[in-house]
Amino acid sequence: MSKDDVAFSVENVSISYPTSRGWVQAVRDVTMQVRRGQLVGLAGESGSGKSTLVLAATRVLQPPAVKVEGHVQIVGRDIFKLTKSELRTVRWKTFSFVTQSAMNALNPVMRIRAQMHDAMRAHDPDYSRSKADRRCEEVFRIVEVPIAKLDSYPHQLSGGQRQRAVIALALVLQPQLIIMDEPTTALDVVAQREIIALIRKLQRELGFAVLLITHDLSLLLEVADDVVVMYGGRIMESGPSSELLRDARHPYSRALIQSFPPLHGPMKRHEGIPGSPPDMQNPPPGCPFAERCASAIDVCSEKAPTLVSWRERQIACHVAQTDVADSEVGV
Amino acid sequence: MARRSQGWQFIASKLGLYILIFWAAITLNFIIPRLMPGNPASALMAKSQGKMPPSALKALEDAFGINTHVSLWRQYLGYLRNTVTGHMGISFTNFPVPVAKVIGEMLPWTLFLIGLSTIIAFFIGNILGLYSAWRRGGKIADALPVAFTVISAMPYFWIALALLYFLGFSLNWFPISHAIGSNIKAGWNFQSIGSVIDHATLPAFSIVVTSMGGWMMQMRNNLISILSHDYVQLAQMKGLPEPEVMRNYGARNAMLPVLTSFAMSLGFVVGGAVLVEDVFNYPGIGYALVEAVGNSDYPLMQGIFLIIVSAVLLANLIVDLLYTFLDPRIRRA
Ligand SMILES: Nc1ncnc2c1ncn2[C@@H]1O[C@H](COP(=O)(O)OP(=O)(O)OP(=O)(O)O)[C@@H](O)[C@H]1O
Ligand SMILES: [Mg+2]
Repeated sequence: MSKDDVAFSVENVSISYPTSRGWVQAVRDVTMQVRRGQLVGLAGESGSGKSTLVLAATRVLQPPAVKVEGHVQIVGRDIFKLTKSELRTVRWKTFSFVTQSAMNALNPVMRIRAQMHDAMRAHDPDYSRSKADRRCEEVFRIVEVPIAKLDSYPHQLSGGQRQRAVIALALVLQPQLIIMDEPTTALDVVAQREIIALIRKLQRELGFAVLLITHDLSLLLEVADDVVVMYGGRIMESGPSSELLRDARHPYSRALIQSFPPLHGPMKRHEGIPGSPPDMQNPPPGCPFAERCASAIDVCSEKAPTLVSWRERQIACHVAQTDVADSEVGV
Repeated sequence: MARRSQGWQFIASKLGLYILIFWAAITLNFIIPRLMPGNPASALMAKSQGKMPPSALKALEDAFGINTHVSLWRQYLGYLRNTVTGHMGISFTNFPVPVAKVIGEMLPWTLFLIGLSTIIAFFIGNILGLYSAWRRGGKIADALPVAFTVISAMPYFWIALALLYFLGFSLNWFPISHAIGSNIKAGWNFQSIGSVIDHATLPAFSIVVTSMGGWMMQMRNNLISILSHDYVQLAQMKGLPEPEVMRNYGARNAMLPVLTSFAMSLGFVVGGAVLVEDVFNYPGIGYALVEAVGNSDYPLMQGIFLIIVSAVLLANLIVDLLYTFLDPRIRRA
């Protein structure tokens, strides 16, 4: 794979927050990629470090608020090496965001149009009012919100419209990568699925890459090309959706799939994973999932598994790794 | 179109509310003095220690508009009519000068001194607040709140007296009382304006120094909490220049609550003048109020109260209207 193919690449990234009791590592040695035009899903329960990863990788979170190690490239730019002003010019033009709480992502005292214009004015040396107006209308049409709403204030839009307006804002400069952090949490299930379907459609038609963060692994497996499952700040399993959908190997991935109803198929009662995520202040020495894992063996709580490649995917699990080795021998 | 007419409806309903509050306030203004023992006329009689014939009492009562032989209801109607037309009776201290004239002479000084100082303190305080929130973590930005907390901890009159003593009395840089030199006639000429500024500097400085800190802290706290909102983060993600983020996303939102307090403080300019004008012997409304209280000058007190109430209400009304333009969420959809 050539380097130019990569929209977003994270290499050995670790991130820590300073707290009154010292540094807390929220992300540990994560490596992942989003190729151009791909939709990659990042799943994991609350607190697994998904937002921390993308915010620090894009330098929204910067020292001294966090300590970051590793390398990040976005569309060929080495993000941690950019100067402040270079970073500002790259932002929104090469990668944009749909933030976790898109509901509060818009300034309540500015019209939507003005909030799109300022992004265009900041990045386009040939900015003109009429050109920007045309672009605003274009993206509103794309996300299927009435054009008249451009002159509304955020509170005058419905939840779904606001969500779509935020997506329109992310599209306005035609970036190659859009990072979406739980873009649908505030919406009901039907609206959620509509938005995800819209994102998928736009992504295919317009050809940008998407990193889509959500808790809902079942949903991701249906729409994403690749999926990365995180837990306790680490990657548990990653690989093509079709593979994971057919045969998730990590007990955590399986548990996560079980805890959400699939898009299609019979409704059954679904339960969350019993237990709660580890305390990142005092991380367990072994696998972070060990104490909640039904298939855990002795070694799991003693030694953290390393991420190993197997066929097209990567897995960090003692149990799955021995299974895989056995099956490989058996074949 | 529909939105515009709704806007006017909103303004009309606000206006109606304010008229109602104003009516309630002036009615209280009518009732309270009448609940107190005696009346200004008999107070004046008592003060003259019998040197005035009883027939004078009747004449005084007429003059003060407190004719006890007329029914309360008719007194009230007369009072309302007088209030609306600006007839506030005769000042007892300055007999026979009408209250309206006394207030008319003193009010401009108060508006000038306290009003201007309030506005200056507001602007400087807010700019410092914006700066110290924006650059928080920096040396100056973090030193500002500490410095002003110390200043705010000192009582106003202490600071005022210290200024008066050192800069006025010891160093003799500024006059220590009055609003204008005694031998100078107020007018639009250099000598007169120079003298007015000279006299206003110390009291104005005392007000600005003591009230600036409050504005700064309020703005700083507001902006810091606004800056943690997602829309500010998104504005930064958009790659907007930092000053634009601060102005359009930070300050514009942080300004809203500050405006309310600003209007309140403008409204209290008239009422809040008492201490300043008393310490600096400045011939404004506050000074007049202290005198009126000392002399049981009810008509003057009532007149000043009316002015204070009107000022507070007017300031609030202006803010309410301003708010509807600045905060789109207030306009009913
Ligand atoms: N400012 C901070 N200071 C200290 N710890 C933090 C801070 N922000 C987040 N954390 C911790 O970092 C870990 C990862 O948080 P993060 O917000 O990245 O999770 P997430 O996967 O995005 O969760 P969610 O799905 O709820 O959004 C959590 O344990 C959280 O408590
Ligand atoms: Mg998150």
